[in-house]
Amino acid sequence: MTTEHAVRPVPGDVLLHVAPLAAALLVAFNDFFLKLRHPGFVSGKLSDLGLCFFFPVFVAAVLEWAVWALVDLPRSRPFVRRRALLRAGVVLGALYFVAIKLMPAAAAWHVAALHALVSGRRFRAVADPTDLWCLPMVGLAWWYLARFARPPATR
Amino acid sequence: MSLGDLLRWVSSAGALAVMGVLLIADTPSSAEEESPDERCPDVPALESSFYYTTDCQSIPRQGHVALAWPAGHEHAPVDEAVRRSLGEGGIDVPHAQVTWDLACDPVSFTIGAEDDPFRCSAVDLPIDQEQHVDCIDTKGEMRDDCTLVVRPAEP
Repeated sequence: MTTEHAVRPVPGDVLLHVAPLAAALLVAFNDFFLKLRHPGFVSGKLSDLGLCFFFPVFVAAVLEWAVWALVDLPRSRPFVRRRALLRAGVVLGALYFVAIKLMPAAAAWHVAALHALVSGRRFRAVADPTDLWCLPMVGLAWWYLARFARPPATR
Repeated sequence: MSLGDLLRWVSSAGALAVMGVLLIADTPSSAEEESPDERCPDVPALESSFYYTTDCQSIPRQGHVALAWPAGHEHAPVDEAVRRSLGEGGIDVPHAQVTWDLACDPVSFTIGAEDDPFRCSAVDLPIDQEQHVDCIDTKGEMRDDCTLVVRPAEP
C-alpha cells in the first residue's frame, strides 16, 4: 500500500489504494464464492456494485499507462498525472458499463472482444438494465480519482 | 530511479495485470452458439427421473418437475424438450408449467406461466447442488437472482 503524499506518481497507481483493491476483492469474493455457495439476489448484484467503482478506476489506469507509453516514454519525459485522463477514464468506464447493460448488441460486442483477447475461453453476457441501479458508485469513483488530480498539498 | 520508485512501477503494472484478469474472469463462460447436432453428438436415452426446484425472487415459484435423466449421465444433455405439468410429485403450483429445452452446456430452459415465460440458462446442472441461474423475460429484462437445484426423483 502506498501513501499519496510526496510520492512521485506512477502510471496506474490509482489502483494501489484501499478503495479499488477492496472493490476488486469484493468482485472476486462474490464471483468465486458467493455466487457458487449462496446464489441469489445479493450475489447477482454485488459484483456490479464493485464493478461500478472499480471499472472506471481501472480504465483510468489503462489510459495512464497508454499515454505514458505512447507520449511520455518516446520523448524521455517523466510521467505526469493528467486530470483529463482520470476524468476520461470515469466517463469511458461508465459509458461502457451502461452500454453493455442496456444494449444487447454492445453486450455481444463485449463478448466478441473478450473472445479475441482470450481465445480459449467462451464468454456470455446479457444486457440487464436492472444492474444500472449501482451507477451512483461511478460518482464515488469520480470523487476518488479527483483526489489524485489535485496537487499533493491540497489533498 | 530509487528502489522505492521501481517497486511502485512494478506494483502498478502488476495491479493492472491482475485486475485485468479479474475483469475477464468476472464475465461468465458459456458455450458458443452451434447447431443442436454439433452441440449434442451423443444423446443418451431417458431412463430415470430427477426433480428440480427453482427459487427466484422475481419469478413465481415453480415447484418440482419430473425430468427424465439417464442414470450415470447426470451432466449429460437431453436431446428433446421435456414438458411436465406441475404437481407431479412436487409442490402443487397451479397455472405454471415448465418446458425443458436442454442442450449442451449451458443448459437453457423456460419456466413460468405460459403467458409470462422466462428463458433461463445455467452453466451446468449437477445433481443436488444449488446453481445460479440467469433468466430473461419476454420483455428482454434479465433476472439474475435465481437459483436452481436438480434432485433425484423420490419414488
